[in-house]
Amino acid sequence: MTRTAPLLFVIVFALSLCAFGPLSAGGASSPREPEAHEKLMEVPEPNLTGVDLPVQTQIQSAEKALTATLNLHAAVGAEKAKAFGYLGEIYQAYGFDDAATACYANAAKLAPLAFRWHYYLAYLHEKRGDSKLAASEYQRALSLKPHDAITMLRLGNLELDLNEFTLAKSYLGNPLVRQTAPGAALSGLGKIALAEHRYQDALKCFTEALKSDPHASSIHYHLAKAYRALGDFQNMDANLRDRGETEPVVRDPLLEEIDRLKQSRIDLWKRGNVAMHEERFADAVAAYEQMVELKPSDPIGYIYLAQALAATGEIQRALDQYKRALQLDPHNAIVHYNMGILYTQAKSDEMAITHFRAAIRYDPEMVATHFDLANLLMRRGKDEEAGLEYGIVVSAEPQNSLAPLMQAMAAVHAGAYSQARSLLEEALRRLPSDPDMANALARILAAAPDPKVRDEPRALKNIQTLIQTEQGMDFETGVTLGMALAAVGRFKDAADCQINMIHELQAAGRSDLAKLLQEDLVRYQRNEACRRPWAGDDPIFTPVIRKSQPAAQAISEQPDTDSKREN
Amino acid sequence: MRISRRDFVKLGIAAGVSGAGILRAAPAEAEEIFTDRTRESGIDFVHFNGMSGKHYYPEMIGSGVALFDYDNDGDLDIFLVQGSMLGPNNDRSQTVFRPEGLLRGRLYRNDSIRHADGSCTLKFTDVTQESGLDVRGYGMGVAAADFNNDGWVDLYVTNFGHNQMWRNNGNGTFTDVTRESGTDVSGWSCSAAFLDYDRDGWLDLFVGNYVDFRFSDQKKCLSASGAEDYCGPLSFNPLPNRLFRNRRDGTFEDVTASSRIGSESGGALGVTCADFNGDGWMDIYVANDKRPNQLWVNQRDGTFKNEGLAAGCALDQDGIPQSGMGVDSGDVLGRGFEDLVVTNLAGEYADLFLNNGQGWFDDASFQSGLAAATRPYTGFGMGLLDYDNDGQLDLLVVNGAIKAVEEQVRNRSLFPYGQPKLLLHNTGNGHFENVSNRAGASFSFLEVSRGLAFGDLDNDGDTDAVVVNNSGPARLLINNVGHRKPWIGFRMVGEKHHRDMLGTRVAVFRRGAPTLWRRVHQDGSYCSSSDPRVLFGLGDFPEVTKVQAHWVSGHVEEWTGLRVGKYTELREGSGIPIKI
Repeated sequence: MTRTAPLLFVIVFALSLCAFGPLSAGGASSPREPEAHEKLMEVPEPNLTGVDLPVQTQIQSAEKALTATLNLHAAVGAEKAKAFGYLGEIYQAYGFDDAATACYANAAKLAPLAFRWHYYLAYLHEKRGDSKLAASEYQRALSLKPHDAITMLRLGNLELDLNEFTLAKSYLGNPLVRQTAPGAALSGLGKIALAEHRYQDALKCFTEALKSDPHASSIHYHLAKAYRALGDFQNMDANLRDRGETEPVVRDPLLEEIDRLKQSRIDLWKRGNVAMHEERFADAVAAYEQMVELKPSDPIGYIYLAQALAATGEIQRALDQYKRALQLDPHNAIVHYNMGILYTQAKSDEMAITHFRAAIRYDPEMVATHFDLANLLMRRGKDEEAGLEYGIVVSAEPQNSLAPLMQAMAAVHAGAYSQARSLLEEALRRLPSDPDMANALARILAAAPDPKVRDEPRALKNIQTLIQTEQGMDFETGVTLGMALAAVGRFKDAADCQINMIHELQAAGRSDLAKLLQEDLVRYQRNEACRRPWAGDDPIFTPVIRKSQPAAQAISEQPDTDSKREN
Repeated sequence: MRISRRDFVKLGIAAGVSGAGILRAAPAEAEEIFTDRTRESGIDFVHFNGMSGKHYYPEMIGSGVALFDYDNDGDLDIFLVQGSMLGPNNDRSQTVFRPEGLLRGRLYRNDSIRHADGSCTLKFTDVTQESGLDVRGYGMGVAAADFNNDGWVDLYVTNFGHNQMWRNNGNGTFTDVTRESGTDVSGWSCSAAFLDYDRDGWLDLFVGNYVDFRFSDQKKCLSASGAEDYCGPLSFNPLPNRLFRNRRDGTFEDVTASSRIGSESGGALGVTCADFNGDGWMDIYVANDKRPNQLWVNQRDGTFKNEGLAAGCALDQDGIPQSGMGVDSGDVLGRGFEDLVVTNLAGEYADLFLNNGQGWFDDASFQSGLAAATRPYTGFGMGLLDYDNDGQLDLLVVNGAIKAVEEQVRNRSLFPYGQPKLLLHNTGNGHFENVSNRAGASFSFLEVSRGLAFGDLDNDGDTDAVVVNNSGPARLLINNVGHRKPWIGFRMVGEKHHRDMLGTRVAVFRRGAPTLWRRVHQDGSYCSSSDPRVLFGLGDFPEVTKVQAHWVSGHVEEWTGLRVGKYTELREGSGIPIKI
């Protein structure tokens, strides 16, 4: 029997049961027409091609359970409703919304006083964008359970979307709703106030909403709108800066039940991701391990598992998972790159370089690899190779200001000051307002050992302009200023500058930095200019390699993401 | 079973006519607002997306269309952007739909015949071969404008791959001047727009870039059930947009960095250029996919600043970025301001951002009825047009899903992403009414629509449309109703150079009725380029007292005594100067 046949058979059988009723004791009953309210919808059969095996099993099992229930003479309406409803929940869990809707419609018909089927129906109508139908079903659900706060909340938001502000206010302002989901309720009331141009009220609502749900960063956007309307641009800007995309928390027990049914790879992946985000790394490992189990031939599971293991500090186990991923996909640039990162952490620089180079071989345009490889080469004193890699980043990302700076530093470390100067001048033509590069150029112009590279007056002019633009001096620009002053012969000014900085640093408890200024101070006091822009052990020559691995190739979010109103 | 493009098209059209599960109830042709006249006009273009079952993201995104007068004979010609094979081992035998013929963009010359009784026999001739337009590659969009001020409209084609600049030689042919013009962009570009951002009388070029998709880094994206489907934009890094300043010698300078346009990337799909804050300088609005939209406000010194967030047009009303695809700007409320409309994914809704005149916006998506009408659909190409010439800007949206539509998957459709089109009538006061059921039979076809360009193809005084369907036939939708109401139209051209002065704002003053404002533009919609002429429906107030032009140069001029019911060419400098 094909998959198609059983369901159709079920429907026909169900209808016939309705038509023919139970046999009487004395013999066959005469057939009767089904009552209008007993006519059930045909449940469309989802196409399960490509669906994860556990999901297929789950769906087929629920379908069989429905068939069995409908076949039972003794089954009453409530039992049939439950069977339809359960199948609907499974369908909904995996996005087969049409099929789920039909199941819920049947369940609601068979058990019209059951709240949950109307609720789920309403939810699916809402998800499909049919606000009026959704509102009608939510109202039906509410009539069965008048104090259900979540239903009132959803109705309130729907009525808001339908511009029925009075109705919306009545739902969102209900004390039960305010108690159950204060952030969401107040946020909704705030939106109504905004729409009605009651900006002070809107401010009040959003402020309270944020107080009750401080992580709901999306509320800052509403606050910004209210402040804007009131002409308070400072607070508007502040809230725009704090804006995020986290909406107020709404715990929906019925939707959580659906979530708990999910067993597909994407759900395991999502579970793992949530766990990673919440730093429950052990839970993430567990979820990703299940993902691997579901499809051992897919490298993605191993990649995520490796990331989770690395987060727990299990570098070697993480590397083992990456190696498995490479067995399945040897040319995976991201895996090589991530292994490079991990080997760096494990201080196996040569292995790290091998894998970074492999990543570049398989994806030469992955800019991050060139950059991290460059940093690693720089740390190992391979300045020329580092310079080449930085140069690739510069070409690929003209807006990247760190790459040209580091390229110049690689040249400096190699003693190629003229090249460093040219690189910085070129980069500053592209990115004229970058302060770090401007400072680095000024320092080379002031203190390069080669007089042909130096341009002392220009160095002083540049550093003074930079300090003015940045509205003050920091450690690096202060050092450069001292060098530039000494370079033009103003040794006393250079020394005074140095002394002032030393005092400030000591007062701030930074004697470590103050110590670094002593050598040049002595030089200036002897009327000598500095001829070494950076000390050999300056941290700039040992750039830090990142610790975390980048997000791997996904299993990504669903291409047409579910409505963001789904909590 | 291998299916050829032609078979699929026949199946699709047959199913559409028979209503076999693909077609919804369609109105009789006599009542149609738009009639599909594709077949009889000679347009036989079918888009090929190169899909091979591997769910490469670019498959779902193209493509666009340009309506422009390439031969300066006064009617609109059509250029349709084509896809090609995709993937490192691209082989026609592996595609789901087998392409027929050469895969390249097609140019159709408008050879329509206008009869003495005013009727028009539509006829388009494929002149691709003789035009020299050899546009291959994986085409996305197109922008049409005269970049070298020689009076002939050129084409800029965006690709997944390298873009191309085609110079119109003025003799029916085009030359590829990509390299010498300096406008090559490699990556993934979608919508592009020409605009004179520095007011020097020469058109500059904005190129919207999407995301960094690579075959070597193919991501696997799954639906809730674990079945493979297309990824979304957040699976990839966004690419920086590009701005090219016209050097006035046939070349462009890449000013992306110095203009600061490149300082923020969002994954651009749609772009529209207008003076949003009323300071007389062209700004740029970019619709980004799942990242905040951008409003690049011209700082008047060669740089731009993104003020989208503060302006209130970057996010939806909940402060969440939407999937911005198509975009247009126009005077929705009839106040003389450039309002914004953006199409989004199913489950989201189309945005209506109402401009306060100074470049700050209020979200009226729900109050206008737009949200309710558009929420079930994934909108791409769209535009504000006065389809019935009543003086109010209506909205036409063409849709096509990105996520497989459950019912079509069940029906074993090979391309289960079809959705109907939407026509929304502006009832005044910023409210839209869904009139799709009267729009025409083709509106109910479940197609994967993408590009949409507007223009008066038959020069009868109402706005027609051309739709590009991904992996499907292009459609020529001819307006049947607009010309029944009084109208007036203009081609706004430069004083020194006979080209369309994109960005010019035109006001028509009517006796006893509010002033109507329109803007000269080719950009907006999705990956497409529209008729730059401005067409004003006069509704019940046909008496035009004067017409005012606010040129991009900053000059303002007026004309009186202009005839209703025809297009008039207005040259900068030919009117009475006005001080504002």
